Amino acid sequence: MVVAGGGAAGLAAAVAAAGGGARTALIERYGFLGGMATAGMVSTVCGLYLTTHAGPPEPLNEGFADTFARRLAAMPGCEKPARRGRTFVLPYAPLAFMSLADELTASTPALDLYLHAYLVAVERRGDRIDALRIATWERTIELAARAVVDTSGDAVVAHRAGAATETAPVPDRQLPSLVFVLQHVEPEALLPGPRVALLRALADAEREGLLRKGSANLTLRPSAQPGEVICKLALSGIADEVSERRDLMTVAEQEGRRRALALVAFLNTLPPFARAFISHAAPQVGVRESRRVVGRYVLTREDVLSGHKFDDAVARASWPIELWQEGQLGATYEYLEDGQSYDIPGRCLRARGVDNLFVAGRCLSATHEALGSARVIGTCLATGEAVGAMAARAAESR
Amino acid sequence: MSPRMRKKAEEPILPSPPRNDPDDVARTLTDFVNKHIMARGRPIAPDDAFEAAGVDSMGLLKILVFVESEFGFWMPDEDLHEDNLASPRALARYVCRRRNGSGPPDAG
Repeated sequence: MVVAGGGAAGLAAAVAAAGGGARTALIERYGFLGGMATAGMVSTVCGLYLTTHAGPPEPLNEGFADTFARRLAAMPGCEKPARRGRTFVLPYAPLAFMSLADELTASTPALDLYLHAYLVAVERRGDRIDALRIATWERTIELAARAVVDTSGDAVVAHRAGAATETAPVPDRQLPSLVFVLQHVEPEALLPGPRVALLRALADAEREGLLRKGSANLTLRPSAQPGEVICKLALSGIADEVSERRDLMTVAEQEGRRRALALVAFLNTLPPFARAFISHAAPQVGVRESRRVVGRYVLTREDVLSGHKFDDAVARASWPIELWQEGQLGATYEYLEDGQSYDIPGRCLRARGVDNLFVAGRCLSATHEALGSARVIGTCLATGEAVGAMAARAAESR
Repeated sequence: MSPRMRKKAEEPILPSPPRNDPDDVARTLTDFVNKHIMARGRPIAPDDAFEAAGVDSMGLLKILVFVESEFGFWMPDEDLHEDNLASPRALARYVCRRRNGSGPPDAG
């Protein structure tokens, strides 16, 4: 079988399938695995633990997600689960995430990993995909497949195979965010009070025209390293700049870096940030929403908020519906009842109209709102593992 | 006569709530948070800690902007600390202290 896209979901799917003995190819466009977790430098795994206002972190899914999280937490530069309001996140260093992914793939004999590999064509015959053609750094390869898993994040395989997909129009889509990392920030700058004062200063500067529009849509999190702060800049107001000659992602990357640099120049005028500089920025902006599969069931906002349980459940999730939308500062959160979780049914991981096509991660079958919860990395690990097993069974029975 | 004064004169039986009552202010702040920040599910109560309830610093900023427009004064940076920002109740105490004249409210 072939897994297209080596983010959290694709990694989990490939390791699960190959670990169970299915000969599996995993293809990834970058030179490292992890997707948004590494290329997008999200830097906290969300969705691993039950959302509840009290008590210790309670893993939602046994198996790959939990094992991966425990191993990740023990790696250099990573931390233990940290409480964020009503839930927990797992702060990690992107290099640790990709190293752990390297280790897992290298130690799975039935798994062939292709890095720097791009999807060129999908060979479809009738209601099945026969093969994926990929181009690696050195050659073009045809990978025959009894089952195909689309963990591209953007439903690239499904789209090319002609399966039903849905793409929110750019103005309605969740905002992408650029992650960049500051060094030499004085620690008192991010205590609760000064942090609010800082955000207010940014909002004022933006209103007064000292900063570009959208520059105040910034969240800051100190890492475990002294003086290091991980910044996430939500890119509002870029939809207007998209044109026939300039794609959204081109605008997002360039505008994101431009805003980040201007922002830090402004921060340098504030004493705790006087020596701060950007040591590195994510290789790509973090995408929260793009194209997704319309599968055999479409997960809804009501399913999420009511903690719906399904007979064909394959994963549990509990992250609030977190939406980053145009025209608002920060995100809005809609929580499940305290201590509740919802199920993701297996039907959300099956494409319609293409028998042997499976999907997991950000491009699973869900509405815009439901995806606001189901898109997070912890849930991607869980749906990935589930889809790996499902697709391996389908490949075997063929 | 300004529109506001006319409105007051027409509604003598329903005076505007006593704005410097901490309970009342805490309720106003809590309502704002539940309506505009914690969109749904497990609304917060006046004594709930903002942070534990999931109100992040961006949420706190929205609350400050609300305080500014609703109560008519600006919170200086040095007043933005845990004692004043812990919960709706804590912020309400601060608001009432400011309105009761320990430091005159800014022109709103």
